[in-house]
Parts: sequence; structure tokens; C-alpha cells
Amino acid sequence: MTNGRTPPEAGSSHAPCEPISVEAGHKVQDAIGRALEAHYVELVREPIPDRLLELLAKLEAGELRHE
Amino acid sequence: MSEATPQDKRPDEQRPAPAFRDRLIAEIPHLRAFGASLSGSMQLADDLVQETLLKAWRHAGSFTEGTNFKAWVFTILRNTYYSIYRRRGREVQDTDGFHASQVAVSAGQDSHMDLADFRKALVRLPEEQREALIMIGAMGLSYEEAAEICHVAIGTMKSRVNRARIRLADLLGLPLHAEALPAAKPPSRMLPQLPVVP
Repeated sequence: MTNGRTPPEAGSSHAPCEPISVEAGHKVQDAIGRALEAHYVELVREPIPDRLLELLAKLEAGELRHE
Repeated sequence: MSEATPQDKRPDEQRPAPAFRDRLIAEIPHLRAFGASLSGSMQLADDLVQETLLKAWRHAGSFTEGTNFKAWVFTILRNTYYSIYRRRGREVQDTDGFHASQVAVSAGQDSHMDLADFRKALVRLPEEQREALIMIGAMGLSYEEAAEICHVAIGTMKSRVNRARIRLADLLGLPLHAEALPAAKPPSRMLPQLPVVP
């Protein structure tokens, strides 16, 4: 072996740095994408608290203008 | 009501139009979801949104009609988060601020991950990566919009999103190597690797 590059050991059960396949990578990406959407959708669907709507109503009525 | 906003030097006597209020209301659910994703707590998110609504109303005159309203109002929320909440030394530690979700998400190959577990991983991301991933991957903003909101270059935003995905996959035990990442857009360069002729 003179030029420095050794092939990975065959039969090694754990090769930590072996890249996963592109297809497997896409599956992981898809799973993360679905989880992100589920996370966000659950939050976005929560009802708006009254205090926020009341705040806007007060602002619009001019009650909170320059306090 | 605590009010940390400095008073306008020149109070804007022009009252925002009802349409302005309606546009703000339409953004509230998204502002809350984004604020909760940033802060790790729905309660903090509501404080953030309240502050954001006040600032948006008082600075309504600084919004230029015809420009991106969503980007404008999200910029206010984000600036508020970083200037007030971060300054207090708040760091997201856990997800106790979210109500315990029972939702499970398919992770492919008959496996599932709990949304609660996903959120634990999400809050462990560096903030700039977390917010980038939420804006692009959850809110569906364009890279241009997200870059505008965060005052960074589009390329910076893309690299944050990529790093966020890789880190999140690691945290979830779904290792993902950079080589397997698809291009941000469907790849436009599909040239095969040509053998190098000596």
C-alpha cells in the first residue's frame, strides 16, 4: 500500500462515517419536514387569546395611544 | 401593561386604517406559532405578540404600502424577542411551555416520532438555525422573505437551514450526511461525474 488510501475495512459492522444513501437521506428529510409542519400546525391552530384581540380593539378605539 | 417601547419622537397622528388591523389579526396565529418556536413557550409567545402588536400599531406609518406586510411584522416580533427576551438571559431550556402533544409523526419505515420528542430536539438547535428552519420548513416563507426578516444574505439563510436539518437529524438519531442533502431547489445541475482524463 503505497499511495495512502486504504479502502474501508470489509466486515466492519459499525462504520460511523459512511454516508447514507441519497434515498435514505430524502426519507429523513421528509420525516423532518412532516414533523416541522405538525409542530407548526398544532401551534397555529390554537385559538387566539382574548387579550390580544382586546388590545387591538383598545388601540383602534384610541384608548392606548400615547400612554 | 409594561411598555418598553420608546415613544415616537414625532407621534404619528395618522390612525391606522381598519384594513391594517385586519391584516394584523390575520398574522396573529402565525406570530404566536413563530414566537413559541423561538421562545419555547406559548405564554412567552403571547407576551411577544402583544408587544409586537403595540409596536406595529404605533409604527404603522413606517410600513410602506406595497411591500411585504408579513416580513414587516415578523421583523418586529423577531427584533422584540432578541432585544427584550434574549437580553434578560432567557435561553430556551426545555419545552415545558408547550402543552404535551400526543401527536406522532411518521418517520418512514414503519417508525414514528413523537411530536414532543421532536420539539425537545428543535429547542436544542442554535437559535439562528431554529428560526431559519421554522420560517422555511414550517411557515413556508421563501428564502428571500426569511433573509429579509433576519437581515442576512439569502445564501446565509440557505446554509442555516441546511445546517439545522443536519443537526436536527443527528439529535433525533436519524443521521443525515451532507452528501445526502438535496439542493434547496430541485437540482438544476444534474451533470454526471465525468472521469478525469490525465
